[in-house]
Amino acid sequence: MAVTMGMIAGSWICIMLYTMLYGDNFVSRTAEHIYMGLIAAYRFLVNFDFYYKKGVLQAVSPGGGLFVIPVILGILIYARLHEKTRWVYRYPMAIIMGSMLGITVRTTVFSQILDQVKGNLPPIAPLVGVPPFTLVSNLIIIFGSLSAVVFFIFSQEFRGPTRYVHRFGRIILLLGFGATYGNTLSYRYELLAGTFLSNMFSPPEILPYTFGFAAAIAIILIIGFKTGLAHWD
Amino acid sequence: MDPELYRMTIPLYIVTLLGIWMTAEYFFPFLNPLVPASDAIRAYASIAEGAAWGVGTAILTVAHLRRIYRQSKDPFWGYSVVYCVFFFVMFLLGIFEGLGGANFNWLLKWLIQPGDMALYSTTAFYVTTAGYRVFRFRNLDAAALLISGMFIMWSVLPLFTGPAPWIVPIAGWINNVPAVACYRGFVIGVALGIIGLSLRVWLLKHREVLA
Amino acid sequence: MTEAGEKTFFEKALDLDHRIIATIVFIIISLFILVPVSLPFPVSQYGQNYYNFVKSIPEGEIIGFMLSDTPSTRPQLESASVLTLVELWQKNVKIVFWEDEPYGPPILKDYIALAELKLGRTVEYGVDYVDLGYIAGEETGAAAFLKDIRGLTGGKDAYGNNIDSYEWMKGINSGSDWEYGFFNVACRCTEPLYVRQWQMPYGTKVGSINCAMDLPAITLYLATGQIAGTANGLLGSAEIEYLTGNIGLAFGQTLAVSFGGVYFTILVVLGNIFFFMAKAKGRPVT
Repeated sequence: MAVTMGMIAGSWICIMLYTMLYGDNFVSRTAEHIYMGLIAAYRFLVNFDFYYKKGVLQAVSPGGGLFVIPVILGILIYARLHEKTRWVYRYPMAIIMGSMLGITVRTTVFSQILDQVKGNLPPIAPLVGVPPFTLVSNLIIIFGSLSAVVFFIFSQEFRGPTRYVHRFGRIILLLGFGATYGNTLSYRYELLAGTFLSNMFSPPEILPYTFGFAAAIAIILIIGFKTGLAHWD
Repeated sequence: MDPELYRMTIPLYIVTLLGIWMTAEYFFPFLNPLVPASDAIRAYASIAEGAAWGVGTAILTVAHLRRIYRQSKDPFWGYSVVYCVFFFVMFLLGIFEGLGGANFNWLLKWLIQPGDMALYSTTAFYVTTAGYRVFRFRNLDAAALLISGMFIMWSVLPLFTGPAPWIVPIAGWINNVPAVACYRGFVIGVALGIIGLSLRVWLLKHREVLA
Repeated sequence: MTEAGEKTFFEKALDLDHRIIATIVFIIISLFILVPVSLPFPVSQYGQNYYNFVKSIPEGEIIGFMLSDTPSTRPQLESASVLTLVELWQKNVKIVFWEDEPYGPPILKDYIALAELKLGRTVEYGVDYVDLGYIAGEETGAAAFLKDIRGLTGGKDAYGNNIDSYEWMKGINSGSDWEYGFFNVACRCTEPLYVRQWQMPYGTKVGSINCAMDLPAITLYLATGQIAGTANGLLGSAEIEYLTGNIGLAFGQTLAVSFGGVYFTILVVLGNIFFFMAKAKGRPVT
């Protein structure tokens, strides 16, 4: 019974949320606020559970005395809520930001610069002893990636022969972003198909509830648009 | 003591000190004795981040409660009632039942998860409209965007790759050559930007990081 | 605009209401979900490479698996994740799970239950796998966790048990203790994070389960070998279903998504036709 009611509730909240595509209306706003209330509580509880188990419980366990430091840091973060104590929050944030910057920068140099430059060199991108098509492809990768980096130099204008490097970089970037758009598009349709399949059309027993509720919402919205309770534009 | 010193300057120095320390220990073996301490700091930062989620939640909830309190001044206060009801129901279920509780998981499975899927999937409609309005063969640049986008989209759809399998190697070439070149340049540029921004923060030129 | 100030047919068509486009998308996707047909398709190099990577993991190996799927990407990535677990447990691989997203823990439990159904046996906690739970902190948390697991978790798993009580966990305390690993980051584009904090410092061979949107960003890591293979979105899941002989949910969705793509192609073609027809009539159009 709880599972059936759950499937119907899931289908209904999806339909209510999809009505946002048809203009600003009280149905979609209500569903958004239901979702926001639930997700805010859920994310807070899961993260607080992590803080409690890994911080508070470890601090009170034998040998875990030093874990009182993250417990205090976690409490100090809440100083942000009051205007007079807001500056206190900068201390735990400084520790979090400092650690994050440090670990990001030190590995960025290797994985995002050196390894990528190595990707432009043999054996990953050989130029000798390879078929002509592979040679051309590797040359496009090498010159394309360098041109793409040049494209991001905004501090000077490119004139003369260098403008072709800038142009080539732009074309390469557009080809890459086009590939991203194609992947994103198929991904969005996959999301849609997955939502329909998981929540609205499966199992077949909930189909009458799905279509019935969709019809009811459509009637409510038509009345809403006509009476001005919902806005078409 | 100048309030600016302990309110902003000292925290910025902490960011600088920690950032340089964590970076330097990776490259200089003579700093190895400090590694256990920096491992501990990272662990503490991670644990403290778990508590940080509550700040945003608290601010949002207080804003909605204020809206309910001032109902005469805000015509949409009813939505805040909806938010608060569902927030406190979920919150109390989580506290009294625990994260494994039956009712808590019912709300998670049958309201939160479908809601998440529905909200995320609305972007499909917007990208379709955007493609209809934006994808034009206006010039070489627009054509490059359009052709690569269409080939990549076709390559992941069996309705196209079944009857026209030649789409797959073309899309594979686009993914493995110009897309790699694009993202390599992009990633190198972003990495240089990260290093540049980090240097700005460590040299105390970017105070907004702790605003 | 004509002399009377009205828009031409092509200008009106270019200004087609977003709601009409959306409604047609609704109808197309709904129709092909309600009337599913499986379509054959060639397996891409990504799917084949990922499958080969899973197959290459030796029997009895201990691996790390960061599994943080989200509800929105679950329909696409469920098959790839579950079938990966099935393939691994068929070889008695022992898996250490953790999650970096709050949705991760409940979805992991569902995936394990689905994997048990496909395996035809139950998997035993503490013998076949251990779940170290949700680790907050994104990159900081991942770096701290992979550097010293017991330091961050206090030596406890997601259920509060001492991880040293599991014999095979005694030698596992950092990313360097796994030769192979997987991460399912759903659609959060955090694959570079795991390349930076797991693959690169510890040399672990990693496979990725990710949504299609992330593919262009990770092809350069695939090209350099930093990521060994990727199960890419719905197509990746469908390919894994096909390669493992477990045709199911992902395969069935591909038709609906395909017709969505057909509709988009028609829209782009029509948009260009209307654009050039309107331009040929001397109308200012964008």
